[in-house]
Amino acid sequence: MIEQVLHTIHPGDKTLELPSASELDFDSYQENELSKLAFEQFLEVLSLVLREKFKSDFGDLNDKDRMSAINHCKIKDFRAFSNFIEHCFRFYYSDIKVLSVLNVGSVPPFPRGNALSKDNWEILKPVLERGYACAGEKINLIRKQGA
Amino acid sequence: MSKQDFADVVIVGSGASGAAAAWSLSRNTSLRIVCLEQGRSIDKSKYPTTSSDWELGRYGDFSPFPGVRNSTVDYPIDDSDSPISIAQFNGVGGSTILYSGHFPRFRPSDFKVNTIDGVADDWPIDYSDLEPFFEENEKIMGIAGMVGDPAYPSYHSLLPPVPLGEMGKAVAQAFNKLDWHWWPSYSAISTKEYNPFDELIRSPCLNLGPCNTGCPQSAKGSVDVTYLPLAIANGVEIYTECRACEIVLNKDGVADGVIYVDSHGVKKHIEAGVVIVACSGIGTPRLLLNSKSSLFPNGLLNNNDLVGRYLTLHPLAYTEGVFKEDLKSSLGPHGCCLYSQEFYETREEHNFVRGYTMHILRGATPVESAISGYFMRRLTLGKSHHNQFNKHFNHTAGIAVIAEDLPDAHNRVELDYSNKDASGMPGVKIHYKMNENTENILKHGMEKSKELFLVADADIVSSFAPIKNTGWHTSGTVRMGEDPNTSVVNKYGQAHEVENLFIVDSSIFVTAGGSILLPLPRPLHYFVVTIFLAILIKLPRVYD
Repeated sequence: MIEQVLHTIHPGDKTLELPSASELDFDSYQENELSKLAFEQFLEVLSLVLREKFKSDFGDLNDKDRMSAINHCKIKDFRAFSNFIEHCFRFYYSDIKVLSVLNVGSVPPFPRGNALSKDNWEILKPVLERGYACAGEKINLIRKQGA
Repeated sequence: MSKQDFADVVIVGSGASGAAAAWSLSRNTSLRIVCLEQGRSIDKSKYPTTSSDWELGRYGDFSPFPGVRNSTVDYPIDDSDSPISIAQFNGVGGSTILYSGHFPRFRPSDFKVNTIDGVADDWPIDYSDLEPFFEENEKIMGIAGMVGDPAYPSYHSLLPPVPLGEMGKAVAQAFNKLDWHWWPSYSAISTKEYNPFDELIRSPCLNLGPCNTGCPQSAKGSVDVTYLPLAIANGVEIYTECRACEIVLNKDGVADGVIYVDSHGVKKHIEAGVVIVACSGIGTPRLLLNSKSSLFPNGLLNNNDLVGRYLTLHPLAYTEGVFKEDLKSSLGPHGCCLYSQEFYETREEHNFVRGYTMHILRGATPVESAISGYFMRRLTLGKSHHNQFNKHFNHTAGIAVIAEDLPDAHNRVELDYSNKDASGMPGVKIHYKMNENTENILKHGMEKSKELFLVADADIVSSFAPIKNTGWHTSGTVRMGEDPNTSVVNKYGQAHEVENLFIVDSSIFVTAGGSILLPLPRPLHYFVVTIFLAILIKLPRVYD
């Protein structure tokens, strides 16, 4: 069921060339004990919601009801839901297949860096012309005293 | 317990202050200097940013929170009685491994808040005492920035500034429209290859972004790539995974050395001519409070119940703006872009004294963008998510308002005997409340941050204070002063009551300033070097 849940949350986008979460390496991600626990706890809550509200298995629901079931979990157990959602984002947005498509610049292990546009420091002219007037006379006095 | 190890100087802690202390004393190569570090030496090839899932490191071994890292080298910190969680890192280099590298100096007024504003206490030293040491510190750490800042007229030489990027330019233009002060950040980041000494060669920054999980390029000036290589070349020895648990005194009340537990759990005693403590505003009072004797039954130097009190944390407010354009805002050193001290000093029209720094942060990383975007209701789940994310990621900027936190005796660190570390030493319990002045500073900072984003034509998506996970800047818990009744150490960091015991970290700050703490402990340390050497001459070397 977890693959179907992940796909519902991150179905991917062909136009943007983003993969579905169900196509990514979930097994490696959930080797971490904390994430495993988060997924297990969420699936327990989801199973409860499916029994009480939908009286159906997750796989038998249409796309709209799948999302509705997931969102119901937020009301049922916000802590378990938010913990799970955080892990979903960590899982999806740390996968190399996703990062390679997003506009994230150089992807670790960083064979190259990122170029930022050259600065034109004329932009500081107003600051220099104004000086440090903001602090008032008291500070100027202290500066004169060398405090 | 064996007692066969001797050193002229034992330094507890290899972070920002301990590393600088080690190096400056090591220039006298006749001294044997040992640095005790409870953490491990960090292998740069293991930094999270060496793999594509680097953001996950923030939730594991490279989290700034000991409770998340769950490592035997950390100690328990119960901060449930504080709106701000304590952040720190234990390892060779200390918390500089994970800091962002922002590196502005304290300002002259920071040392005189009582004289200027009638609050708290003045420091027993002032800006002019430390100015030469600021310059030396900046040379070793390799500070990028721009000379000519009207708020800091005394800078003479800096590496080229970190690039503003498109987002930085957009925010800078908004500052200009409002006629507010701003300037490129002072950053401990080598913006070109930096080689001030043969032992130090630092690669230029590649504008990757994630400085605060460790910089594998060594472009960020953490002390493991600045002071410590110099100190080690001069013969300083670092004992890693060695946790200092007690400073011991002899019958005359002179520090006799340090008891520590090594990586095998064996308790050892190293004798010392001088003991220097540099464990941060939390770790330093912990060690002192755990060092009880007949002379100091309530903890070393604590007969006046001052050790652990006056904790300051620099509460932060955060406001996030989203620009319509893709400004590639996540690229570049995350914590270093530009800053403003427009509202740093007291003004008559404010309902608070002192003030704050506005610190412009680059856009959030992919995982952070998704999490904050979802919980701030900018992003949904399902089919629409990907398009929404595309319009959010790389479009954001953050403003952190760093408030000057005035000291309060009720805010304190105490030992927590119910939570102990792997060696059996008590952890710490934090008691901290923000005062009304700080709350008013944060409110004002959020209003001004919103004003700035409105002028920049960015949507404001969140604004809140205090930010829970920002307790990096811990200070004030072993305060300095002239009067032994109201302070623990003198202006040289020397304990009033134990002449060969020195504290050199931010715990001796009298007040916290309204910016970053890190640039100050090192100059403070240099200031006290002369007195260290005088003491060393006076005391017999322990192994003579």
